[in-house]
Amino acid sequence: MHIAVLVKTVPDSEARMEISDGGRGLRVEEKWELNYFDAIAVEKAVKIKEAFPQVKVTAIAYGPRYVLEGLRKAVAMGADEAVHVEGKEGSWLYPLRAARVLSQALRDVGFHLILCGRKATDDDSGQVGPMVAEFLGIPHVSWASSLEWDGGDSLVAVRDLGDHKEKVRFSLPALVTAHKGLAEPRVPTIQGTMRGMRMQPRKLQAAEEPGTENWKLVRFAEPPRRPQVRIIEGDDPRAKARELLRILREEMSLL
Amino acid sequence: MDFRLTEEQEFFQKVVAEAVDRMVVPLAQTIDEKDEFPWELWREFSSLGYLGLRYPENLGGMNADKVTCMLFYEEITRGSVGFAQSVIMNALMGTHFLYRFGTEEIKKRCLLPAMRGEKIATICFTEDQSGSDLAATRTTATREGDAWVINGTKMWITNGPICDFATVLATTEPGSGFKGLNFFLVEKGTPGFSPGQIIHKMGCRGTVTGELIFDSVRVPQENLLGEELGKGMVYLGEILNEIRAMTGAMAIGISRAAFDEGLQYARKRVAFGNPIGTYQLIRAKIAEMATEIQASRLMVHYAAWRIDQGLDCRNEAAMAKMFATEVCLKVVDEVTRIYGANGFAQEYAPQRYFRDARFLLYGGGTHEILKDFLGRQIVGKL
Repeated sequence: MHIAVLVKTVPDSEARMEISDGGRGLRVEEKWELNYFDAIAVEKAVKIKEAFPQVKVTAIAYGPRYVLEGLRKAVAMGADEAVHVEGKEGSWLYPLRAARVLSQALRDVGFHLILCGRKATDDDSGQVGPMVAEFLGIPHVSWASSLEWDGGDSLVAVRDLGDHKEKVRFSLPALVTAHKGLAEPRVPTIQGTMRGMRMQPRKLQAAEEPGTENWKLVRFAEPPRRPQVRIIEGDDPRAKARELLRILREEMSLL
Repeated sequence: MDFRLTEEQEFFQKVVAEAVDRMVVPLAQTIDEKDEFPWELWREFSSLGYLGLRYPENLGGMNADKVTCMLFYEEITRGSVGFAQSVIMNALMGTHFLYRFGTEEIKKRCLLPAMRGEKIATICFTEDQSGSDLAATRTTATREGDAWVINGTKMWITNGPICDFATVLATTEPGSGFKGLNFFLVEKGTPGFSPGQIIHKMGCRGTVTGELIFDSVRVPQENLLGEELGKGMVYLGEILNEIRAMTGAMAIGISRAAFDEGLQYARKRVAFGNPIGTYQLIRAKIAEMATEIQASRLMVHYAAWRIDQGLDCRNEAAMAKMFATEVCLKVVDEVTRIYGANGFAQEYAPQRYFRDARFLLYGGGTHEILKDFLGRQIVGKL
């Protein structure tokens, strides 16, 4: 069993961003992290590997040098190998192109099961996983919040579709996109971290994929500001009341 | 000249920071309030293996360079100083001499479990009459046949009351000052070895600190941690610079935690219709703190880099420890001012940083001692 995990490196949630060139550009501070939903996919793959030692996990990333961050994290969490598909500056921004390039790389690397996040937290597109499955001619199961494999030829997944859940059984090869609940990404151990630090990915060159610019950037804009809604979490009413008082006093200066 | 961290070091820092944010930061306030050793967090965190970061890979460690170690010390301290003190004691001072001089059996019995967090380590220097003045150490080790018998009382021992083993500084030649000093391993359960009173501290709560009593504690010859008798101070010198740089890294950790709180507060707190971060006097505080924290980090990393290069860094390590500590004391003070009256309230974090930072004045050498040392070094023999 060979599980390939598609990992995207996205701006760190604390990275500073600034719209530039009158909306045509976006300056992003050089702080990167593994996309949250891809981290869930990596965790699930590693969990399967831990249950079935014959399983091999390969993390695959497409993009410039900074995507090594996501690959390092995947290896630190337990992926066996890393593949870096190098691409021209900016070319990875198009989901259609990323899907074409990654599906080509996957043919090269080989796979039985492909896992990836249901979307990336930077562009929120959610297109790459299903498109990769389509290009490879395999079924896909999206928004999986549970995935069970007993070592046989088929798997059972639960798709979390908000107002209802759907349980599906499917055969390999297949692609699954990871949703919250599928797994909780681990904190790497020191041995894992060292493996991540020393990782030497196999390098592949992305092929030219003309006609894959399936969206056009018009301009970047800040989302309209809206009144803040805050929910004070917790079970203890006293603690919640104290927090409310703190907010009213400290942050809103109303008391 | 290259001031950047390597990609690998940056990755390491990020992974550790994430672990600290997920595991330690949410418990920091509770650790301080309860002032109890956080056993569950200890087990969870130590299972990741970071306590062995400076030891070789064949022992289960990481063989990390000193700059990487400083990144670790900074991050773990940013999470909780009380917890960090125990972690760093196991990772550095409490285990170093076992690694350097312990027999294979001692390593197997004490060092390896300590790297995994299964045993708690400590080192004992201070006594009621001697702290900085180690030559005045009164704890004795007397040879009796093929064993050593240790007598004395140690004070201010981090992890002391809960330790599984201790590296103990004792004199084998009372009255001969530094020349008689040696390190001995004493394990829990050895007759005559017992914890004394716990010291209740104003800061670094959660770390258990207290007395250790040695009443005719008999240990075998192999528990003498050193190749040569009377060289304890020479061996201590091997890690003194690392300890001082580490204390500087801890100072940066506290500074950063406090600074981040202050910055968030300055952005949110509204006074006279605007966030206080829009006012020049608050901005000046933010600018000065950021500048001085940056300077501290450069000094600490420079000292660590010199250790890695095998260069003399007695001055650089002392300067880094002293400067980073003084900056930290200023930062924790300024952040309580940014918080206004809330900085005085127990329910907010700034008062915790304010209390925690005080320990830096003593750990790694008091500044009076360090200034005297540096002054002598710089002025030279007259």
